[in-house]
Amino acid sequence: MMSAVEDAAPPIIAARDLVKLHAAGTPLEVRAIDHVSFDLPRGAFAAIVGQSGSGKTTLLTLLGALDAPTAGELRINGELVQRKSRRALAAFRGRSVGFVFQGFDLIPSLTALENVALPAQYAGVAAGEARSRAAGLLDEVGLANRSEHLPGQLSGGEQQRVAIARSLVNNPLIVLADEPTGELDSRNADQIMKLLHRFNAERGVTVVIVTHNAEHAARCDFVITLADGRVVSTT
Amino acid sequence: MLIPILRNLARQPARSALTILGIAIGVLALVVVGALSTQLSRIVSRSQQVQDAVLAFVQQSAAARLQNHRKQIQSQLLRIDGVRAVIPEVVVPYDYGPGERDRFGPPRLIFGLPSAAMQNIRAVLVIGSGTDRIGNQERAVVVGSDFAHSQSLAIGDVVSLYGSSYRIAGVYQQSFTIFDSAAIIRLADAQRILLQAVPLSMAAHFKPGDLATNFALLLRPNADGSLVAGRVNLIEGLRARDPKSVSAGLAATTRVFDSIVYGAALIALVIGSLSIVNTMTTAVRERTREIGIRKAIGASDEAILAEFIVESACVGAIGGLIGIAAGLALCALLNAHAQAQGSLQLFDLTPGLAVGAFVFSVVLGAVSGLAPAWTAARLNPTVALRRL
Repeated sequence: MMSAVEDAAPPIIAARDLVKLHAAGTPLEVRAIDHVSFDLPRGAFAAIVGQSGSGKTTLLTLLGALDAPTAGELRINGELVQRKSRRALAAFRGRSVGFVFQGFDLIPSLTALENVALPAQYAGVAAGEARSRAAGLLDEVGLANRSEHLPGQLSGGEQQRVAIARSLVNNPLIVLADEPTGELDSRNADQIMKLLHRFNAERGVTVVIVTHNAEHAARCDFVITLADGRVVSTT
Repeated sequence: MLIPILRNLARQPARSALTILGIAIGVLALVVVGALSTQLSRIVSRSQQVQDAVLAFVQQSAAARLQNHRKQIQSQLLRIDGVRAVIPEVVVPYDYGPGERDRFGPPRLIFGLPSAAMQNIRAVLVIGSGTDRIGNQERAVVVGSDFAHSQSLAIGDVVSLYGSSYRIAGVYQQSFTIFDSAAIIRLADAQRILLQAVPLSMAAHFKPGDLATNFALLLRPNADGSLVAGRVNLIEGLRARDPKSVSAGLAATTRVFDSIVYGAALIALVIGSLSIVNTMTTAVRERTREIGIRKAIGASDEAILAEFIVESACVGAIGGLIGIAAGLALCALLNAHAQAQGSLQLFDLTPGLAVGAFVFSVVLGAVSGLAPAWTAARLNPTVALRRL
């Protein structure tokens, strides 16, 4: 476990004995996460690795407050996440967490600019300010000239760059990326990883990626390896 | 917000078009029957004013007419308490020529009125061109606006009534009463027309001036019309309608008519709204992962709820606008057809009715989207994100 115990600053993510059961109490019960504990310091770039079904994505959904752990304690920036109401969790996700998905998952009826601005609008940012932020981020990911394009008019690499811009529009504490290069060729995959590393370095945002790519994992500050829902190694 | 909604609707164009069509048909039905009801209410109300002005509520039976007792009846009516004056009238159908029976709307009539009645009628009928003062003009006729329009008649033109030529002396403005499709001539001219219907063997016994089909009663101030009608009905061969019961009957008939036509239109709209429920339910199922994404990036349950309700309301709004536009076109078409036939225009799609129908279609759309939107709002984000 990488620990921030010796660091003066409190960890941005503090997971203690996290357990997640699917279909709990039924014959189909699955222990997806089994007593997982770790700390991540602010500004870290971490990878969660492991074989398919090891619990990587489930752990990511817990870290992103999309799901609540069955047991254990999760603190993000010192806030106890699992005790929040549905509304508070939605606000927390919008304000503190940015998501990047494997399949890009942009809203197909919105342009690139509208997609990037959407989390800001959900967070209550005025429309003009949201669009201004979105335009700036699209410029940063090199897509200023594609801002009025719909997702269907963009390549996979471009869509993922839009998704990264979207994840950053509310200046979150953490960006969680679930296999962000899984559907890209190696050239685009490298571009995406470089972007994530750049934003991690420039903005100090903590980045946690789930990846199968050993090369990408090797470039991370921390690597958490899962097997059958347990942490088997941390480096 | 509207453009992304239109883009969403364009993702399934056939389904969206059919859903919008369903609402449009419902709104079309609502505005057309609403326009019909509005116009009928207006016609009833105006006709009531005419009746109040002329008080033409005493009818002679056919048998009584043949007894040639007009003067005796008139003096009997004058003796009734509350009656100030009795004005004889002759009302005959205009023409039952080819096509007349297939004509849409009430029958066209020829009114033979004395000058006194013409004065009373001015309270509700306004002359548009020419004059309605035909007391001294033989074979002169004043016609209603629809009557004139149907035959392209203007002042000075000649129209044939029962084989005789009548010169158009005046054309009334549209009044939305039965007089719009009527021709008004002097009583003496109408009595001559009526005499033509009497068998030749009996005609020699009649003086045209003795004939009348109706009597208009002018009442004294504070006289009770119902009491007068009751007394008239005691006289053999006469039938007087109680003005109050006529009004009540008309009001009741209008209510029943409104209930039926609005009920039918609402059923059409409810069926249309079910198509919105179906469309939105399918949309939620198809866009489950999108809902998960929206929640992951910070959308609250309320935001998702609002997005789907607004989308649903937009479907209602688009359907409503199309339905209202189609209703306007249909009402204009039917009115033009009626006018060409010399009938009353029966559809009046008022701005209030159009706005009401639009608001109703938006609200109906929003309400129809409530259940699917609620399902979307309550989706667990992790479950939604698992959907490919």
